[in-house]
Amino acid sequence: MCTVGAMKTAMEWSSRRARHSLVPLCRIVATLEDGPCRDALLEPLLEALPSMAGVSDQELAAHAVSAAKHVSFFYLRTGNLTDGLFLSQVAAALSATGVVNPRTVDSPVNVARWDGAVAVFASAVASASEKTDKRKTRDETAGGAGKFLFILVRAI
Amino acid sequence: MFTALRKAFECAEDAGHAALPLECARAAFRLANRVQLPEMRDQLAAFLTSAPGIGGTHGMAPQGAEAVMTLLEVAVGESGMPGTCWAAVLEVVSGLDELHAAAHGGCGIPSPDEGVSSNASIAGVQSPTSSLTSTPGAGLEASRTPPGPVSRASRTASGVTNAALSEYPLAPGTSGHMNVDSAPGSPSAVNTSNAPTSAEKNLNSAEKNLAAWLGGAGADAVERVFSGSTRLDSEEIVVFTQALAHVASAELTRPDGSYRTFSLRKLVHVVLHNSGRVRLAWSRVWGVASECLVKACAHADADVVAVAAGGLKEVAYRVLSNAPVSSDRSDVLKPFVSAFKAANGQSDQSDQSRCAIADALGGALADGNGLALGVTGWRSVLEVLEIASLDPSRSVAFSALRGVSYAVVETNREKPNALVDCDAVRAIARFAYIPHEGTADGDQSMAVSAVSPLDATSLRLVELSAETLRDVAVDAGRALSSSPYANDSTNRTGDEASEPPLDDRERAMGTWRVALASLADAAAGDRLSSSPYANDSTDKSLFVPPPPEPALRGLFEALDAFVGGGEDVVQLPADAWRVAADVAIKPTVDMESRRLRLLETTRTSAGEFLFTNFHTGN
Repeated sequence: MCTVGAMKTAMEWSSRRARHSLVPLCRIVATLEDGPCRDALLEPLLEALPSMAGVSDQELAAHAVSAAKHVSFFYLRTGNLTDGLFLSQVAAALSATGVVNPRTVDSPVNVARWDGAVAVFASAVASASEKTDKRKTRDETAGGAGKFLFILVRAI
Repeated sequence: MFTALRKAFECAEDAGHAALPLECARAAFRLANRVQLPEMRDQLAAFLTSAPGIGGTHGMAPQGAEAVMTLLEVAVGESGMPGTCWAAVLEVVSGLDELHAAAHGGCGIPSPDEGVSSNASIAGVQSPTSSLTSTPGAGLEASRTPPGPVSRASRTASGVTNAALSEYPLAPGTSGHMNVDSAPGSPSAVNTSNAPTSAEKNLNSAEKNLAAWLGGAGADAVERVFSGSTRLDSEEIVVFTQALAHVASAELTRPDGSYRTFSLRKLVHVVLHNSGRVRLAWSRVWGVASECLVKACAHADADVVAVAAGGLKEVAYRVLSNAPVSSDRSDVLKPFVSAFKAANGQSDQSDQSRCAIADALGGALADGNGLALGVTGWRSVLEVLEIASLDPSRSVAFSALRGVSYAVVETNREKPNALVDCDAVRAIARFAYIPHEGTADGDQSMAVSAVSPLDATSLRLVELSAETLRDVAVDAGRALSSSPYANDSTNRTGDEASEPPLDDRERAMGTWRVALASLADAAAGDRLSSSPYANDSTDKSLFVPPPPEPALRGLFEALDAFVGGGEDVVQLPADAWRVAADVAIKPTVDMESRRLRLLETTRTSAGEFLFTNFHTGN
């Protein structure tokens, strides 16, 4: 009971702040150049998105998935796909889901980043299929997750 | 001798004859003062101050005007008077203002800088248009002549000349003297255009003529009593100020419940006139005056508080405007703390009074005056801010923040060493929290749903707090960007790596951290993580968390200032971005941590509930 109550209150807390924090944060991340500055902001964001995307609140879930989608798309758009390191990052991230075998990567930060992105994806899919019966949430979440999956697959 | 003087004065047929005993008394007073005969001096002073008969039950005698002039001359020309004498003189001067107010519908003696249409010389030597002193230098000449009924018309010791009186346009039909002998029923020279007020009806003709003179040339003469205080030595000026403060306090606490602020205003004038003294001497003057002004700030009437607070502001503004940068002028700001505390301690005071004090503090720090403050001065400002942030009236808090916030931002930008580390930021951040006298049930920091809609003032206060923190953060970020080690210590190489970190950079980083953390705390609805009472459970019920939107807007606008490719955009170093992520981004978006904290809080509350019920047997 306590856990459920705490989760509900935390969800309300995040829901009230999601729009005013995720939208400007994504804009800032998109504007920053690749490097430690952007990584510093991405770490807490990607760590937080899974739990946000997995809630039953439709608006919060939609914001979380949209933020994940935005960040992922931005990474794939700006990333150098011919770079072996980038591919290894994607593979390492997807290794957590069992899609591909893990490979050695030399950047723990990037692993964490992609782990976070994948966790968002997994959480969003789970949310869409199990936690809510609201059509809009299910559609938005599933739609966002689908696009994200498409981007990932295309990148690989 | 006293009896003879008094008799001669009371029986004087006209002003000229009244002047004889008055001049005699004045000369005797000066002599007694010089040869140190205090008893005689005090008796003469008592005669001189009682002679005008201001405020008497039967009204002023016709020769009272002469006594007024003599007394003003004594006040301007004599020195070495004890406090009791000064108090008596200043009480008469206060009575003159009251007389003028009675004759002019409550309007006191105008200050010369209010555009008095005076035909008397401001310099106070003689009336330049006087028919009796028509040649240049005649005033000086006249000052050498022995005083007497004839020469009185052109005496110049204080600039209070009968010529000035005689030329007052509302005293026609006289020959060089004020119309003190006009018979009752004769056409009044006062207030000819309007019907007389009830107070004015009680004035006799001598009082009306005196009031008319006070509205013109007499205003200069009265003002000269205070502006002339600059001639007093370091000890005398303190005595003079003490006497004036005594009279000012008496004006505010009259037996009939009424009050006047004439002497309170003049007290400020005296402090300003004497601001050119050496600091040690001036501080003693200010100590006496500020104590009186602080007491006045606790007055029940908002108008009195406004005058007192305005006086504090005028003095502080003048001193800070002329002070060198970062000088320790906390002495002009400490009274604001005392005034605020005094005002807070009065249950019958209105919010308007405390707003006046808060506005006055802001006015004192306007126009870059905050830069003149050192750490000690800022400590006083922050103390006022802390008191104001706890004020139950949001209007008071808003007035305080509005006045000081710009000075904080400006000082942080131009001279961060002058501020008290990050205390200024924390003081600003406190205004985002709304004092709440509710129950201590639950954890207020988590009570998001308990936030009720705010009134416009409270919401504006939260917004202003967030905007100020944003500006502080942006300035701190720019300071970090321009630092020689902008790319943080990890990027240093060679000799640079061995150098100690720069104080300025550490200070800027600290400000950047605290400003962003404060914004994040406000956005999260938590206690201020950096505040002294952050972990004080007894304090949690005192505040309700603010709405998150203003703080989030401020937070991301601060970060947004350092992204993009514009010319005016500076690059924030990586360690600053990491700090932003740790103290601001993570607490703002990390719902999982919040859930765990809530879970822990719930468990703790449940455990305490069971423990309490078990012991009480419920």
